[in-house]
Amino acid sequence: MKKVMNLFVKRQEIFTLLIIFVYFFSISAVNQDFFQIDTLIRILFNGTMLFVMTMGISAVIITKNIDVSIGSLMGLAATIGGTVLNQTGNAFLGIGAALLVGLAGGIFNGIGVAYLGVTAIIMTLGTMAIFRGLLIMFTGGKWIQNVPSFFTDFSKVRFLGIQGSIWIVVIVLIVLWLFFSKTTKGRYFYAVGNNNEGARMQGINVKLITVSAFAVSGLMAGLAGVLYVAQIGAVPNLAGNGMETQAIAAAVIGGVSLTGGSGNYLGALLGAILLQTINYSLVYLKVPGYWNNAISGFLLLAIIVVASLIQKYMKREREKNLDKQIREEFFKTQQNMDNAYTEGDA
Amino acid sequence: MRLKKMLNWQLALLGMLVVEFAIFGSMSPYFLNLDNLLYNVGDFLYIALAALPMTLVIITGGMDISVGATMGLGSIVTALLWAKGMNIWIAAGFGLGSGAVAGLLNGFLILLTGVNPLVITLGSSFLISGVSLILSGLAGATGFEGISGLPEQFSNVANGYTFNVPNPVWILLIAAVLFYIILHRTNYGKKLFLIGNNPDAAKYSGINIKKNIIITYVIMGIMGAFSGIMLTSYFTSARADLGGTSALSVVTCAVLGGASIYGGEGSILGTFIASLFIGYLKYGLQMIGVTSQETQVFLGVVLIAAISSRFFWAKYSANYRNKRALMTALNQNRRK
Repeated sequence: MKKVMNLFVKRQEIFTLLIIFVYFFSISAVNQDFFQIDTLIRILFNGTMLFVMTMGISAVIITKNIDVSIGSLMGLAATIGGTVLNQTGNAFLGIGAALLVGLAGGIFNGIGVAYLGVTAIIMTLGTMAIFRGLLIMFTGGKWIQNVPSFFTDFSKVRFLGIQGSIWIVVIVLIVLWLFFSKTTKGRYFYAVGNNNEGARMQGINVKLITVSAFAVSGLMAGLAGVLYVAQIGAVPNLAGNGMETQAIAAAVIGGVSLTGGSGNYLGALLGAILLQTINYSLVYLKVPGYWNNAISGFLLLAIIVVASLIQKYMKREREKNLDKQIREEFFKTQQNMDNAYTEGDA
Repeated sequence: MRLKKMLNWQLALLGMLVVEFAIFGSMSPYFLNLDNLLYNVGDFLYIALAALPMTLVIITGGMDISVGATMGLGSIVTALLWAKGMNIWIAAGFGLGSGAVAGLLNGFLILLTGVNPLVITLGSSFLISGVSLILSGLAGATGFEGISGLPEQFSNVANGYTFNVPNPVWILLIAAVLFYIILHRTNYGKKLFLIGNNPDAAKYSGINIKKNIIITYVIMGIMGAFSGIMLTSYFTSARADLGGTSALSVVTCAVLGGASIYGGEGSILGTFIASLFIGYLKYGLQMIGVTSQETQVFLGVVLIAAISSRFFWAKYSANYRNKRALMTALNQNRRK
């Protein structure tokens, strides 16, 4: 039992996966229609934007910062990308523009945090307002509509029964996961989040890493903007509003610690999938629309509370075990010394 | 030393306010009209009122993003109970109570889980705004419709005049003085600074951290609901999403006023001046014909520039002081 619990703590993604399954089956028990592979794929398809943004913001959270501007940035990227796409009819230009906007916004955030001495939360609260304002100034309050159909069709092309945009999420996951857990440069991000000063003294360019983390987050927001245009085909002025909240919550649920330096990409993605499943299941529970916020808020808090309590409990257990080990080691050495002493006597 | 630094920042803020008035005054002849200026307080009263307790929360090292949701809750609870036949003042009392419950929930969850307050209050802002939507849905209307037709005495609170001065001015002044006394003249206020500065030291000096943090979040909740009720009175109608996006402005006022996001630093006077600065900035930009989107961009830039300038100021003044100390030491050595 303890071993199983230990596994959960060390690998929070397994814990998240378990919650997803339990949740999925309990909703299926209430409503049979929910229990289908199709449902699962639909959940994934509708959640691609959240998934990509959650993975992006994880880079920032790992370095012990926070980015609340990604919702607005996604809206801005989708707007500009969509406009370029509409006017040139060239998909690559549109995608490039959206990604560029995201990247530029992210780098701007990063420079503010790393070089201008503005705390991450303040910097990104400010840019959240700036990006949203720029969006509305750019569109003049109109929606981006009539996106070429070849572009919207592309996201729905199925490969092995799964839509194109889900494959994009898979590719992003693999790339980010490989970079962040298998390369030295990737581990620098964890080092910075774990101990900023220590990392600096080890010769890591902390400021550059911070800017890079925000750049990843911004680039992912740009990618989410592309997915938004492709999947929905129109961009309202409030596109992405509140997405940052969901992305942060998803990352935290998936085990990316806000105190920095821990968490991995698979976990973050699973957290986002769990959140998306909860949002999506409300439709199947047939609750009136105005209950949605309250229920997802309640479930969110409940999950955070349960996860943090389990972690706290396991940490205490682990420390207790460690104490016991140390004590045993101590007694053993003392016994050895006693033996040596008596032997010397004799 | 700290006192001197804080005073410096407040003076700088005051200077910024004067410059702002001078610029807008020269651009629009109607800006420097005392009646307009006083009347305009009603427009940003709710932000200034919520920024005062936000300063307390930030000083303890916390954060409350759910303040906007709490405003909607206070607003809808008050109007709903009134619509069900309750006296409006008693209903407002229950509105404040709902805010206290929201604050209690925040404080309790933060202490229970030890998770960053930012995340907890992000989550609870969903929950609280969701509850407000349910309540307004239960009132018979669909979720996003409002409740209007509130009694005139109630709408007079935020729209009336006392001694020829608009009521919001009085309300803001009284609240600011009250919070000044709470933060800077009571033991409770001093404890907040210590908790924010060094929680361990606070714990070992016998301060009940949990109690004080819970009290702070409850005060935050009550004031959030009060802001919502003032907003309801000002608009003479209640909606579940009233004040929903104000968290940014509220935090901006507190941080611009000198509250450190890491805890242990902040002042009511600073927050008060910063609230005026932000409030009149919006008004002035509106006056000279800037659209609200452009104002939003401008506000973001001002926030970042102000915080950044504070950082560089602190850095260079520290460098300067270090250099001067070094020079004095060298001179003394030379004399020897």
